[in-house]
This record gives sequence, C-alpha cells and structure tokens, in this order.
Amino acid sequence: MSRNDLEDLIREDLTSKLDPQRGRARTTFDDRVVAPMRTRLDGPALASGRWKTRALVAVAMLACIIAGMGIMYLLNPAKPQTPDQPILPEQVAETPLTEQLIIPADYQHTTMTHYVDTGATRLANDAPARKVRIEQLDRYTWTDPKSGATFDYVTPAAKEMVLGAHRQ
Amino acid sequence: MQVSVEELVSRARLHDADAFAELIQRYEGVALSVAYAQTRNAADAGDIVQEAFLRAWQRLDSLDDPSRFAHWISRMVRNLAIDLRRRRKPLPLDDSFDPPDVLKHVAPTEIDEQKQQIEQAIQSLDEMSRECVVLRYYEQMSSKQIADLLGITAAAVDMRLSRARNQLKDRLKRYVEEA
Repeated sequence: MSRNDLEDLIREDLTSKLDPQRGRARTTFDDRVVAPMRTRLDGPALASGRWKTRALVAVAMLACIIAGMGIMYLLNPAKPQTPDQPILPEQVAETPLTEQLIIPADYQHTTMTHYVDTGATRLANDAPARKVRIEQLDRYTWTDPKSGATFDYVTPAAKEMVLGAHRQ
Repeated sequence: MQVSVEELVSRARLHDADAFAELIQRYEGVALSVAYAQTRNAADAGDIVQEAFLRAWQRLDSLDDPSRFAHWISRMVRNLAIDLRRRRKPLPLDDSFDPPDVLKHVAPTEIDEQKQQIEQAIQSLDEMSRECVVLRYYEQMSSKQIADLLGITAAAVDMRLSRARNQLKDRLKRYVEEA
C-alpha cells in the first residue's frame, strides 16, 4: 500500500463526512445574529416612516380644515357689528326642566320702592311738571330647611316718570 | 488582496457581521476538523462549530491577539466538545436487546464496510494524532500551521503524522490493496 493510496482514502472519508457540515455555522450566525440586528436597525427606520406618514396626514387634515373655514367665510362673511344689528347670543337648545331643578314654593318676596325727585321740567305744551326717578328692588329670599343656607336673589330696576301739574 | 485576520477581527469587534462571516468562511474547516477529531461524529462536530462561532462573536473582546483567531476558536471548540462528552454519558447496552428481523437481513455493502473501517481506524488514534490527521488531510494544513494551532512543534506534528499513517496503514491494508 502506497502512502498516496492511504492519504486518498483518508481524505475521501473525511470530505464525505465533514463537507455536509460546512455552511451550518454561517447559516446559524445569519439566523441568530444578523437577522435580529437587521430587525433592530430597520425598526426605527420603519417607525420613522410611520411618523412621517402620520405627520403628512395631520398636515393634510389641517389644510382641509383651513380650506373649509375659508370657503365658509366666502359664502357667509361675518357682518360688521352695528347698533341696528346687535349681536345676539347663539341659539341654545332648550333644556327641559327635570325634577332635579326644584323651585322652592316657600320663598319670600319683598319689593322696595324708592322715589327720587330729580327736579322740575316742562311738558311739550309748556305745562310745568316734575321728574321723578323710581327705583325698585325685588328681593327673593329662600332658606333651605336641610342645610340652613339662605339664598338671596335681588333684582334692581329703575325708571323715570314725569308727573304733570294741573293748572289751577 | 485578502483582508488580514487582524482586520477582520477588528471589524467584527465593531459589530461588522460581514467581517465575522468572512472569519467563519475561513476557519470553519479548521474548527470542523478539531471538532470531528474530538467528537468522532460529524453531526456533533457541526453542532459544536456553529455554537463555537456564536460564542466567538459574543466574546470577541476577550481575544487578546487577533492573529491567533484560529487557535482561539479551536480552543473554544475543544472545550465545547469536552462539555458535550460530559453531558452525553454512554448508554449501557442491554443484553436482552434483539434487533428487528428486517435489520438482521440487511447485509452491509462493500462501501459501507469500507467507510466503517476507515472511521474506526481514525478513531483508534490518540486525540492529538487524530487532530493532526484531520487537519492535514481535510484542511490540507502544513505541519507548521498544525503546530501553531496545537501549540506543539512542527517536528512533533510530523512525528505524530508518521506514526498515525503507519497505524492506519495496518488497519486499512485490505481495502487499499483491493483499491
């Protein structure tokens, strides 16, 4: 038996056994190291892409809202405030009274009237008269029997009257 | 021009997976040779080598001399092979075991028998000689390269190879003559 024959025999045997095992280390490395690394690297990039998409959608929505407001302004521009066209409060839907809103029946109502003579004047027919200012306070008072709290509701009112003097 | 092992290790330490893949490509054969010499089983050798490279990737910082990567990975392979041997205790043979009839009637082919004889001949070598033989005849490594890897002199490698060849020649005489 020559040395070459022996070496060929050993070489063939080792190659047939170990060659099928080649590449396993690389495959395992790719699966367990490289792939997770790529996932980690791609993750923030994808997230960044999502944020970009969200930002674009938000900008588009904002643009739509501004455009809608512009169209509404063109169709129904706000009118200037004048004394003839007072600004009225917006119509608010009426809320039906419920049992929760209790109007007490045992309230006290007092009215205080005060007359103030503000001086002499003349009527259109030149008749002498006096101007009187009438000031009035309507006061509603109610005491809650449970808590003992007193509710005081005062409505002031005033008006001016001219009292004519009869010619004798 | 081939990139040096030192540069590949330096790049791999900076988590360059391509550089480490190149290291696997270059030293997988060496690692498989060492693992096979230790385990005497090709599938186990494949398992150990893939595990060794994963560990190497994680522990690259502990490699003091990057030019000694082959030596370092071989040592890791040897340690893993020892761990495997410890874990896998041989099962006691049961005397009452009777193989199925179908197996009794299967005659081994000439090629199977030849492979078995070669395998047994290589396995009969001592551990160090077996490593020398596998590294020389599978990886085509020189005596100097084998000596560097095993931490012995080139003359010692040549001596072990010579003895191993004689031993193998005796055991495989019949098949070589037939060939």
